[in-house]
Amino acid sequence: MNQNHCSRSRHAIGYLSLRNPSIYLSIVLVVLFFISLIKSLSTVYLGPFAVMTWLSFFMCIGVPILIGGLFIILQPKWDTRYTGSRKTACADEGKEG
Amino acid sequence: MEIRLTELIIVILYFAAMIGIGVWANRSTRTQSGFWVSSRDVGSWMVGLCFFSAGASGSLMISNPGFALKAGLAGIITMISAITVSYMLAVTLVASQLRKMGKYTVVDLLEERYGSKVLTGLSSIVVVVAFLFYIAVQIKAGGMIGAFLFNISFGKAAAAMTVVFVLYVAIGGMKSVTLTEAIQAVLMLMVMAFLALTIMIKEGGFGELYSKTIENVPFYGGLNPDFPYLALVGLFITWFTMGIVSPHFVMRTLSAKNGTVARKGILIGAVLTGFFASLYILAVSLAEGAFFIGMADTDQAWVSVINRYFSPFLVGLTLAGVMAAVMSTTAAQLLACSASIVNDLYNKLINTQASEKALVGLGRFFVVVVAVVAFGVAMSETKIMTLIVTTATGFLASSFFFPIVLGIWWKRMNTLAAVWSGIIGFAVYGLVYAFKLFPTGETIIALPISGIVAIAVCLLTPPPPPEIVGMQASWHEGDSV
Repeated sequence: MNQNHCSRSRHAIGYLSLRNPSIYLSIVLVVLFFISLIKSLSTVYLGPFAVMTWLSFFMCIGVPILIGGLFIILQPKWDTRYTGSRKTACADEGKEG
Repeated sequence: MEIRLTELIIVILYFAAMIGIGVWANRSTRTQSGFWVSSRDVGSWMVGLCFFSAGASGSLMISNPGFALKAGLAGIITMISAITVSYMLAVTLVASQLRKMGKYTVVDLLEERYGSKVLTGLSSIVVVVAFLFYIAVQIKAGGMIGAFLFNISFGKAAAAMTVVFVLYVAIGGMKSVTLTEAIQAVLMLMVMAFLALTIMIKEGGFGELYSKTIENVPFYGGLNPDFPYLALVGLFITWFTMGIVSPHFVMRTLSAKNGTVARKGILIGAVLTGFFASLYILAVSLAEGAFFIGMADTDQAWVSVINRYFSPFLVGLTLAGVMAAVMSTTAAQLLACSASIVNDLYNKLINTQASEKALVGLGRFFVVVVAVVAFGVAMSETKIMTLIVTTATGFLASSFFFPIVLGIWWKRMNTLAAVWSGIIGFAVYGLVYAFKLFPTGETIIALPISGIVAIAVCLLTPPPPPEIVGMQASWHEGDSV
């Protein structure tokens, strides 16, 4: 099962490799999808404003709060993990941090 | 028509206070570090307020409500959301690493990573050209306010404003910018919130005002059918990169105490910008759309809006607030532009042995030179301010985005790739802009091409030497500096 998981990850990484031609086609398709999405969202109305306006407005406020919250929660954990692994690595090599 | 005395007294008192702070701050700007990045001792709330104040520039306060009526709210709010998301991009991609490099300017960090004199020279020229447009916009905004206050011609008012900008930057450096910016940011936040609330209360709420505006501008809540939706994508992409490629934002990151403070500060700035700018633009554009849509010049409509809703005392305070926005942005941009000429062109390419005292003196001299040239640009440029700023940011994004981001995150990224990515990005943007192939959507073409060139050249040429790879890895270690 573990092996399956590893091979799936390797497959995913292989697909995401920039040498793989299909990644470029995927990028073009994703861009086209977003352009058509934006086109429709800017003409479909929800209440007084277009859906695009609502989305942008919530993005203005929501994204910083979301990322900021995650950052404040996760930062101490990353720091602890990093400091821990650095201390172990230094101890292994017999060096000072 | 006579001079508006009450308004004028308030604005003059405000300027006197700001110049006073500049003189006081001058005591701590004897060194280069003090002049450019405020001795790197700024806390996260201060960084946040400075980010807000540098982003909420004169063009945002004056021109963006007018742009909302021309493009539709979907257009302008997309731009504001791109700005706040660009702060997030800066937080996650570059803030901490930039702070750790301990460099003064964008060009400094490109030189540190790639060590190419060609790239240093080219990138400092790009910075200077882009900044002349940025500063010209601020001088324009300042000139408009001055013309309103004194009932004099726009040219004379703009010239007077240029002198004030130069005085307070040339005297105090980044310390004065940082100190006065925090005060200015608080004043601007108050003005934005108070003007928005006053408009809503006096007009009997949102619904009433909205229906009047919709009668005059039917597409207001969405996108103007004449405004190509691809231009909207271009607008988003351009502003999305601003937090990373705009040197005056990068300098804010560098003046923070350490990487974590820089990140927290940018987040605070993003929340303040997203919320207050959206609220302000919504209210002011509604008032302009409901009552002043007939006015040919939308910037004049903005002045009429504050005259309609505020007493002379509050008009004075609002103008001081907007002048604050204009001043802080201009100050930061004048500094970044002068830093680029002195540190990047002169000290690195012409005279590497220059003394610190000589560099600080030259820095002050070039603040004056840049201001004079930008004044000339302001007098000759007739486009809407928002679009001029978008063009300048687009040039920076197309030239610097990939060299900076890939340089920080991709070990394989090498000098040739950075040079070609920058040159091709700049040239493609310039061509698309000059031939009007894709108005306001230039970055849709230029930015991906710059990225593809960076990756392709990089994969076809040898990787950078091990010491560069080691240095790049050191930028990602821990967060304490």
